[in-house]
Amino acid sequence: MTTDLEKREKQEVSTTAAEKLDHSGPAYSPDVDIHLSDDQVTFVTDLPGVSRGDVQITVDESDTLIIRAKNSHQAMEGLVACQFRIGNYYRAFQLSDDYDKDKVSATLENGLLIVNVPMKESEKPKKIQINA
Amino acid sequence: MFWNSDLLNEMDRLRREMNGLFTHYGRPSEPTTFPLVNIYENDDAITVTAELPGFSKDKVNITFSDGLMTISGKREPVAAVKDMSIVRKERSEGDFEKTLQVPTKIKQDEIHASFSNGILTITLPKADEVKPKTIAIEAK
Repeated sequence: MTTDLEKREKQEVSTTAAEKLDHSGPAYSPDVDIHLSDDQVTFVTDLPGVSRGDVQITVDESDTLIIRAKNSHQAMEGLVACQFRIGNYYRAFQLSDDYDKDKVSATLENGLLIVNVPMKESEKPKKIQINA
Repeated sequence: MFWNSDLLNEMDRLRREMNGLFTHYGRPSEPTTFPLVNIYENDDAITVTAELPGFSKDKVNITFSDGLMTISGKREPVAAVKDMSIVRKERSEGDFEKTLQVPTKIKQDEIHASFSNGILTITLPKADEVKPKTIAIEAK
């Protein structure tokens, strides 16, 4: 059986971005899928090794959504083959004005983070009734 | 016990996998088969860890036969976003199968696997005959 599923090792985050991390050590850019609907945007992020409570999601004054996470998975002694590096995670996204940064919600399960940002009520598409 | 490109080999895409493992150590490498693994070895056991975020233990199969360990499964699309349009796709989905050759005798009945926050850890205890032995020197 052949398989098409491939995986590229995550990139290290540049020093300037990593400096904003609260945790020490190198930080990596996790894989993210972004999904859009009429009323919200959803970020699906791979955070292997991260426990609930170790993720910090903020929206700063310039509407940048920032995901920071502390990896609690520990390397062991006697590494003989290495395909992934272990470190904290950092990723940032610019949100447009249309999104309500006060209503960000998120769940983390089995190292998969799902962040929802709803559109502002005023930006949501409106259904217009057609009168008979 | 040495792990080298003859002993530790991915059954498919051998050469690329080996290049990724041994020449790009510590740097972003060529894409390799999912999931990414780290392998550790001590006197007692070989431990394989794999990044499988979003998976629960019943969604991954592990088999061991004739010195080959296979991790397989299917990465399903995330249900919460199934009706939404995709604007960026970095996480791949679909069937996966990854086989590693384990270059030492293993106590097959004592292979143990656990899942924690999307990281799979498989412990393969070494057979007693391949463990290092300390030879006592008798006093005369």
